[in-house]
Amino acid sequence: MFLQLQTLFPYLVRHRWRYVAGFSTLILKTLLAGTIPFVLRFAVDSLTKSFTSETLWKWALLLLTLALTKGVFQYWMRLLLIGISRDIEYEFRNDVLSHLLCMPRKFFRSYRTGDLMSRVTNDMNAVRLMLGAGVMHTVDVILTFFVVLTVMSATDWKLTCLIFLPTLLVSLVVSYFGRHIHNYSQKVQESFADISALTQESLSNIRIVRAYAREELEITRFTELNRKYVATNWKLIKLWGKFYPLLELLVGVTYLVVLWYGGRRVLSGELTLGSFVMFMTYMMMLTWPMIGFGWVVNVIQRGTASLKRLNELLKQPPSIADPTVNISRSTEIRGDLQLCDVTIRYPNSEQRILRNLNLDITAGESMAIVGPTGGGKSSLVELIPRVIEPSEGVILVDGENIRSIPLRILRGSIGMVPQETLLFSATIRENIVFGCPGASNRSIKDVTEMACLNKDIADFPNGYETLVGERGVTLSGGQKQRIAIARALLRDPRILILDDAFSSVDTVTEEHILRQLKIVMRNRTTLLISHRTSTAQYADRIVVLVAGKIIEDGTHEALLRKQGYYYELHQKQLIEREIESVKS
Amino acid sequence: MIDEDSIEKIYDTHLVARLASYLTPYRVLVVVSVILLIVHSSCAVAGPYLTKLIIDHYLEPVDEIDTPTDTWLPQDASTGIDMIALLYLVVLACGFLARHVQILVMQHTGQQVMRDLRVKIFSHLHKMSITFFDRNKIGRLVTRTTTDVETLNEMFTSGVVAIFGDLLTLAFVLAAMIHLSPDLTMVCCTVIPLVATVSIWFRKRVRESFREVRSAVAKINSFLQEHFNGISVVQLFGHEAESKRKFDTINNEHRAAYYRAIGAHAYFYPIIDWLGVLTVAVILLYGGLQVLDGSLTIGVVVAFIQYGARVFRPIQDLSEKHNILQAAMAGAERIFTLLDTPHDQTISRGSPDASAANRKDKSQEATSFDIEFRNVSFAYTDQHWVLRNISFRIEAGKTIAFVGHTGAGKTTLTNLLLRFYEPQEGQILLGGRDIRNWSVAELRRSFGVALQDPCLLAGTIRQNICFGNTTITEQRLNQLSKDMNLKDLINSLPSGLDEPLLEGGGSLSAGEKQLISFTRALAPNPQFLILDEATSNIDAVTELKISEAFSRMVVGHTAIVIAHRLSTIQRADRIIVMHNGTIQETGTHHDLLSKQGIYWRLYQLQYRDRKSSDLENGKEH
Repeated sequence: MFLQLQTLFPYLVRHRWRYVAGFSTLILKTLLAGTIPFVLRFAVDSLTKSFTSETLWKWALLLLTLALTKGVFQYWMRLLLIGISRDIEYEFRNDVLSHLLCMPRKFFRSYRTGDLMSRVTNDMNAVRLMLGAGVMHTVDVILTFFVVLTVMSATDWKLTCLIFLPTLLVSLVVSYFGRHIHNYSQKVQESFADISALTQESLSNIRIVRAYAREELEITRFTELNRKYVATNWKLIKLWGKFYPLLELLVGVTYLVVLWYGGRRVLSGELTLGSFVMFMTYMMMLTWPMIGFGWVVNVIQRGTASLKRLNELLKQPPSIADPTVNISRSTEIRGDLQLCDVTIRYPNSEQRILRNLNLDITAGESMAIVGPTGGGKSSLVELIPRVIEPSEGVILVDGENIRSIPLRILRGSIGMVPQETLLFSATIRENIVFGCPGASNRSIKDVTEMACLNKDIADFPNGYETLVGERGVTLSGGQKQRIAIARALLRDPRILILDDAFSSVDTVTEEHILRQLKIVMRNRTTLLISHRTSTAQYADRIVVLVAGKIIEDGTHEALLRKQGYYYELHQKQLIEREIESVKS
Repeated sequence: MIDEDSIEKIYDTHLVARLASYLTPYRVLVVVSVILLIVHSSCAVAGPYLTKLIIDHYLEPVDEIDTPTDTWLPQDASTGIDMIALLYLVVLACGFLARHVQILVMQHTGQQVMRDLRVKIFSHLHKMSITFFDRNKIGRLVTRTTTDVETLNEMFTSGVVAIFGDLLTLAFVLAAMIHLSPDLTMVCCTVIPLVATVSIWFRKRVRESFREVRSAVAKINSFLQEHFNGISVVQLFGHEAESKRKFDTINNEHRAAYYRAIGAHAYFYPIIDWLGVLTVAVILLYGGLQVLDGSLTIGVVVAFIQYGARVFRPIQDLSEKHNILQAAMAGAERIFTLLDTPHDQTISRGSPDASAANRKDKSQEATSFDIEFRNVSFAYTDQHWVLRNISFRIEAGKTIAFVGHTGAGKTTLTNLLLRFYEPQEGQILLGGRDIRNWSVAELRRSFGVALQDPCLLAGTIRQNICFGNTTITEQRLNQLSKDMNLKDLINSLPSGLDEPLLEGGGSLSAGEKQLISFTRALAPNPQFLILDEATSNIDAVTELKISEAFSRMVVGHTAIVIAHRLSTIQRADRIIVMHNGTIQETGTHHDLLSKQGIYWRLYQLQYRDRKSSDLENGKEH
């Protein structure tokens, strides 16, 4: 547990002075709170003797002043101690995110997105609760017990001992039930999730359900799951049903002890009536610490468990990291690429995605990669920005090992349009300038024209400032892809990688974009993955990648003459286009 | 504005009455629960009152103001204290039992009611027309069935009950106080408006800041989801620093929202505590003065000090419970709106007479039904015609293949045949009888359907094949899996037919899923088969298995096939080529090829490459 907590030390140290101030106010508040029943004792005692209205005023005002001072400290205690926990949560969450942003894709594939999200939010919250309310109440509870027990045992230690037993029992009950209730709540949630899943499944397959007149059966299945849910819930309810009344009973018993034993002590003259009332007031004051103690134990347990899950993320180093030695001197990349004997294996498997691949691309060349799905095309281009690393072999950029080039420089010279278009819920402009925040309006306009976006943007309600995604406009697949293309072009890349970047763009627009690209990318390197030969023929050179090997390599014409895979593909697509034209 | 709306909803008597109607079957339990609640609340009064008795009778005896109720108390002080303590123990035990049983009874009732309601919503959804599902997002409907009902549950079990309990406690405590000293009670009550004001102010502040918190949490979640999914784009475009900055802003917003909540809490607790002490001070002062002139006993003063705290709690709670009620009423309204949406008319329209009539027909000549489309036109939405004046006839026992581009209207034909939708014009006849005169269940039962998406549900393979039909014997299943080339798959699975599948078929290949879906269609041995072939790529071995299975299954059935495979098309008795909602060509494979029309072009494009291999495979078998 201590080892897990180490992660938090830097944050705790950073806020040490506020902690000192917070705990000081906490101590003062608790001490003052302890005096109130004590004062009440004298006030009640004075009622039993001869007294004047002045005495009453005196006690009443003293009580109010004490309570007011206590309140001021209590205010600062909360503001400081709970405030710190929110600050640490904020800082810690920022740090965890920074760490995650540097993790390789492999890492994100090994965790489900929902799981990662839950760690950054729910687990973080549990840690925060431990640091804030958890720490505050722990100290408060211990201190209150200490103060109250001291005053009480100084007055009547026998009665104090007798009260202590049920008090301890309350804490145990809270801790025990708290843990079990937490466990069962999770089971109930799982059962509830089953109901949701079935509803989802049943409703999204509604046609087949209808076709088979299966409605009754679906309802039976649903009823059955509901029965299970109610059964699971019933266990939780039984726990709650015992927990609350038991708590009331035990708190009542402490009160009973004071009433009975305290009463007899007053009768025998060992206790004044004022002290008797004081004991009762202290019992009221102890109700929360009794419950709080058990609660705090669970909060700390849960917080530590959550911290452990967060530590697990923080422990993992970014596997694709910048070189520590041999940093390449050049800051500009020309665009020569060389793949030497490159092999990529599936993780934990002998199966290979690329097999001893050799490829030479000179700066300024444009190369198309075609081939069937699963042939390794995407993996091949992902090697260049080091999204993935080869299992064997070396990649050279401008003759230098890719690993000796700082990632910032390497990726800074690459513009990539990935196969899956990912835009962010921001404005169109923000999405386009994603890779170069300082871009001028002029260059933004240029790339939107190159990506044939200008017409679309003019049609949007707010032009460049139109929001995309959930809260904004819904874009067509082609529009999304063209924004992704503009985004890549704006970086003015030395190496442009288009991974099936035109799959949702119609052929006329595609040809238009490709023609312009040819001019812009004249002296730069372009890698172009495509399923269409009509796209591929725009490249200077075409390679055919089948099962991780290059089987054909040459210009469009040369490959057609070869009458191999590329030729077949081309023929088939010719007919397809012909039919298209017949249709329309 | 939203709040005002929901406040009105709480007082919407129709809504409340309708909700209450769900409790009617459980009224005995509800009454029991209420009685227990009264018992429990009355127990809260005992402690301070017994304290008063002890003080006034034994500790600081005052004889003059003995009330008749107290005459039963023993004269001996120590016996008296023992007795009162015992009495208190009994009261505590009663309170414990009442509360325990009350929680169980109320929660039990709540669970039953919610279960009834969920099943009712779910059953209702299954009676809605297909068009309803085209219009409503599945996610929303799932929320109605689950989350909204759960909010109601919370209202039933903690909201209403807690409010009732709070009010009862308040009433009992006030009654006890008035009994002891009416004017001291009046003095105490002056503090109540202060407590109520502070509580209401606090709830409002907390609610506001939590609204901000919720919005900040939503932003954090969508940021995380977007960036975790798009991590490679972030990294490729060197956007890490910018992303961090953005996250920092959202994160800060989240913190600021909570800071406001912390502020509210930091004010609230000290103020409430201080008001508590104020009450004590007032009681001490006012009560003390009355003790001085002998009109009040010390015991009453002490009892009041203790009662004071018990009045506070319910008032604070009441302001909190208001929110639960609001949320639940909004949920209830959404649920009732859904339940009020009328059922699919087609299901209820099929008259029992009609189904009885056609059962008679069926027994006479079971497989001799022709399918006929007469001038059928159909549009999903107004004027966007998907089918235009379609007419054709399928003779009993024949296999017809429909081919054409996506969107040509092939799937729509089957949707109409199964009465998922009604055509705007024309008639569909089955055995010469308009399908609108069939009972929907009967009609659908006579079709075996395999959709393009195999629609495998979570469950075992057996369950997915039988699909709720209990008449399918083990022997038939065996025969089916042999005929349908499923044996290899079943043997390769550890639990065979009883191997559990994930939703959507998880681990199985596309081909295997289709085989299961075909088997499902064939299992009850229906008169008609509707097979919508999957377009996904399937490896050669499985492809062969499917085409074998297909040729076995169409024997003895009238089959409509939406075909994508050459082998299926070649086995059809007749091919109907659809284009833009009309029938373009009809005929056998050879007829159509010699025509050199659309079919010929399609054939060139899609099937030519496969032709040689298909034929070779055909020869081998």
